[in-house]
This record gives sequence, C-alpha cells and structure tokens, in this order.
Amino acid sequence: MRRLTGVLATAAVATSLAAGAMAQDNDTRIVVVSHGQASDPFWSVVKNGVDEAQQTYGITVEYRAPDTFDMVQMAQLIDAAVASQPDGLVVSIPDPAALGDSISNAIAAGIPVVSMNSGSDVREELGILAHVGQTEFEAGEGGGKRMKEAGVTKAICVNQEVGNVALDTRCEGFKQGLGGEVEVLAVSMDPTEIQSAVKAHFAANPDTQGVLTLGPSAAEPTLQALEEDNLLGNVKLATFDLSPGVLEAIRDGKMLFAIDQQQFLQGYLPVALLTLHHKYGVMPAGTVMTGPGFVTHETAAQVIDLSAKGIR
Amino acid sequence: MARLARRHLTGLLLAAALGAVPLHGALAQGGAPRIVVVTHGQAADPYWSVVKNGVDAAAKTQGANVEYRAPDTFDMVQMAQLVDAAVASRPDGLVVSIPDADALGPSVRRATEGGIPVIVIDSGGAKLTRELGGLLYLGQSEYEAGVAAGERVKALGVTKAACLNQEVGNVSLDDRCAGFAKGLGAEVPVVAGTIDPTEMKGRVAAYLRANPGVEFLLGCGVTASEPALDAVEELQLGGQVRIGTFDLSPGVLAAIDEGKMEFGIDAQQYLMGYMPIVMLDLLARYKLQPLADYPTGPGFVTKADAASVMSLSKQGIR
Repeated sequence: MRRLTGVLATAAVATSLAAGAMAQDNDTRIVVVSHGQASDPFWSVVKNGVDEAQQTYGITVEYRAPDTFDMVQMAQLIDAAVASQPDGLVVSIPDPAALGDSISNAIAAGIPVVSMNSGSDVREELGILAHVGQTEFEAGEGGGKRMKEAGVTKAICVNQEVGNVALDTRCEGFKQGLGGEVEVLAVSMDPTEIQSAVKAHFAANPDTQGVLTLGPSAAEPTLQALEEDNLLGNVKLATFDLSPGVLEAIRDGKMLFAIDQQQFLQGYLPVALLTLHHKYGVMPAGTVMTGPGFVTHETAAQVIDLSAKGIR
Repeated sequence: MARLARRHLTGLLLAAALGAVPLHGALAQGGAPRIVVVTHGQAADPYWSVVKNGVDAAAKTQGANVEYRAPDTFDMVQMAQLVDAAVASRPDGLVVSIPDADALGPSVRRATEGGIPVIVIDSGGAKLTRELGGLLYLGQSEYEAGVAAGERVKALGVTKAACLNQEVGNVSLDDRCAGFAKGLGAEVPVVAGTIDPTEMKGRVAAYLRANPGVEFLLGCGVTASEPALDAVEELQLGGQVRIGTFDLSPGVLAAIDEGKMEFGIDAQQYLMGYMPIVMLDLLARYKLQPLADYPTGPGFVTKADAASVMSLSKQGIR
C-alpha cells in the first residue's frame, strides 16, 4: 500500500484517548451536520465520539450544528457541506421533510452519507448507506418489557411533546412491550407543571404502578413529585436517556432503569465507517443499533464515572 | 457536574441483559484490551486473509492486543480446542465464526456463560448467536443478499432469470436462490451444478439452449458464474443473457470491468474482521455495548468500481 506521508497533528494526537492511532491520514475529510449543539449535554457526548474517532483515524472532521433547533439553518449547513465536496457526510435527520432535499442532493453529488441518531425510517428511501442509532419503537418496547418483568401492569408514559413523532413512537413501543394498560400523560416542558401533572394523575389514579418519562428533563421533576407524595415505594419509575441526576437516582434505587442510546457511538461509528468506506469502498448495509442499552442499579455507578468523562 | 469518587470495581458481574463484563485480563491492570479471534478460515485462504487483514488493521488503529487463531485445516475438533484455550485465557473479548453449531456451540456457550463478550462473524447466524449468549452476529444474510440481488435485476427490466447453484442442499446457497426469486418477484428455476467447472459449463449451456428466453443468470458463487460466462460466450448470447454473481475473484472482477458481468456481490468480509475489534475495544474501555446484528453485505461491485476493487483485492482488502 502506498505510504501516506503527512504532517503529524500535534494537539489531536497528544490528547488522543486511544492507545494507538493510524498514521496521519490527510486524504480523508468528513463533515458532520447535526441538529444538536455541542454545548447540549446529550450532544456533547456525540461530539466526544466524533472527536475520538477523528483522533483514532487521524483524519479531518468538521462538526456543524445550527445555533438552535432550526431546520432551515440545518438544511443550509448540509448544502454548504455538500458544496465543499467532503469524502463523507454524517447527518442526523430529526425532520425528513425539511432535510430530505438537501440529503438527496448530497447523494446525487456522489457524497457517501451515513445518518445517525434520527431518521432510521427514511434511510432506504433517501439512499443513505447506513444508519447508526436507536430506533424509538424498539427502545420503548424494551423499556415496556423491563417494566413488565418488574411486575407492572398499569403505567403512564409522560410525553412532554405530543405530536413529536419520535416521542410518540417511544410511548407506542412502551405500550407494546408492557402488554398492559398505558396512558399517555401529556405535559409541557415546564418542570413545575410536570410535577403537578404527575401528582394530579396519581391522586386520581392511585393504582398506577409504573411511569416512563421520555427524557431527564421530565424524569427529574417526576421523581421529585413521586418522592414528595411518598409514592416511590410502590411506583416504578424509568426514563429514556441519562443525566447525572437520573444516574444517581438509579444508583440509589429510586429509579428502575434508564434507556441508554449510547450516543457516543452515534458520533464515533459513522466517522469510522465513512473512513473505511473512503479508503476501501466497504460499508455495512443497514442500521447499526447503538441502543437501547439499559442502565440499572448494578451498572449505574460505573456509568456515573463514564458520564463524568463525557462518554455516556 | 460534580466529580464522584471512583468506586473500586473488582470482578463485578453486570445484569445478564447488558452482557456480563467483569474487569479481568489486561484491562484490570490498566493495559490495552486483549481480544482473541478464532475462525475456521486459514489466513492463507484468500477470503479469510481479507478478514485477518481487517482484524490486524483494527488492532493497530484501536491500539488493542489481538490474537488470531485458526485450525490448520477445516477441523472442528481442533477449532473447539482453540476456542476453549481462548476462553481459559480470559480475554476482554472473543470473536468466533461458527460453521458447525454442534461442534462449536458448547465451547462458545462456555465463553458467554463465563462472562466473556462474544461476537460471532461470517457463519452461524443471528439466531444461533442469541441462543449461545453472543452479543451480536456480523455477517451477510444470504437470503437478504439474494433479495437485494433480485431487486437489482428486476430494476434492469428482467423478468426471466435462472439461479446457478453449485451445491444444492448447502443451506447458504439455497437461501441465495430463494432470496433472489423473492426480490425479482418471479419464479426462478435453479440450475443445479457441481463445483467442477466443465460440468457446470455444460449444464448452463444445456439450460440456455432449452430456454432461449432467459435474460439473466445469477451464480451462487464464482465456481458457478465463471463457467456460466464461458457458456454464454461460446453460445454467443452475450447480448441477450446477463450474468451476476455472489462473491468476487480476479476473474469475476475482470469480467465486470469489461462489461461481461453485471455485478459481483461482496460480503465485505474485511468488515467482519475490523468492526468486532472496534466494538470489543470500545466495550472494554468505555462499557459501550454492541447491541444488535448488522449485515456487512451485500455490497454490489459494478463496472464503476471494479477496477478499484481489483486493486484493493490485490492488497487483501476486498
């Protein structure tokens, strides 16, 4: 194989978490366009995955995201990435209608595209090579099965954005997995309102045995509400996604589990796959599932440690 | 976020659903993860040498300690012993192929029950992997690959095709034909052959003479498609009958490059060697779990990339 000569990246290699690394590869450039800002706790873990893959493979990677959840801006970022003719493009697809054209244009321009985090349903239709992420229905279903194993037959699914297809699907999967009664409790994003809604539900429905929330921003107020009303002894609480508060609650036995989509892999694997694809033309044909992983009492302490390092 | 005191973890067994990942082996001493790969393919075999190249490349990139073991010949007793020895050495991860479930199942099960993360590649299948407690299966689903081929051929406007099977009764090959028929959406007669090229060529020629309307031939392997190409050329049917094949070879790639074959189906076995090392390394270092199977193939090699694949094939990557 032709030897690759190139300038050794200093800072990147010095801070590399990997014990070994490929010789500097100046030939591969990948652009990641995500709807998640690197400052967001969830997305900062994705970005850490991207950064580690970049260091491991010694390639060039650019991470772009709009300042806020703005699909028009995101489509423009994709278009700009395409115009720069990268060797690979990684995208999240929270809104296929808004982003579909830009992605189709990328593929038509001959750019290999791997999607991550969201958009698994549109992969084949758009001609995306592979998807890396968690599928919402299966994740909810897994959560439902776990709750069922814990003895729950009647539960609520707390949804802070009814109408958001991904979140609605999580509740649908949960219902399927539980095989029992599941009511969707529609709430807003306001933690105080979430607390009162949960308390009100249990006042009217004291026989509810389980609660699934769709993220830490709902899990934490829900936990507080259940604690204040002395319901934690009888009610099993679980959530999608991780946060320090969620992990501590699981460690302390106050929450049953969290559904972990291991988003570090959503940053790492697409970069690894597109690097191999650029060099050798190989690519898996399908979806690489990064979730659902389940963090439980047995593993919470380890995950707290990894979470502090930005890996979970 | 506040830093929490690191708990001292010794041999902590995790919940079964996550897959047991006790700290042991090199990692417990803070060294690089150690992974053992045991396959039924000798490194000298062209197909398996590509797998091994993938293993070696990933080991280097990830900085993991990887050992590759295979029996000298297709010997399941020896292979089971190699798996047992690997298990006894308590690696951070094990990669195995399972061409014979009866012969190898017990050894693989001992690995998973002993808390060693196991990834199965190339053969064995997803269901067997789950039954034995493996984390995931990385290979090509022969049936699904056949379906993809059928869809591709259907898109060419083909309605009459035949599937050339050099080993009827070999489930993997039978699945390839069955999937092809499904993807094409039509009945696809199977032309049964043998691995003897002269024999195969004769049978294909006989089929073509008896069925002048056939438009496409799919070979279940190189030993079917290369003789089929000879038959088509001798009968001067190159204009009417197109050929596609499972698997690649220098002959197949040259034919694709020259426009004499439509495509070759690549199992992309380099990924079968490479990706398990990446995933087991990330599992050992960061507790990130490999969760579900994904197929490494089919990749379709066509005229557009045949030349570059030929070059990669010489380097042992395709």
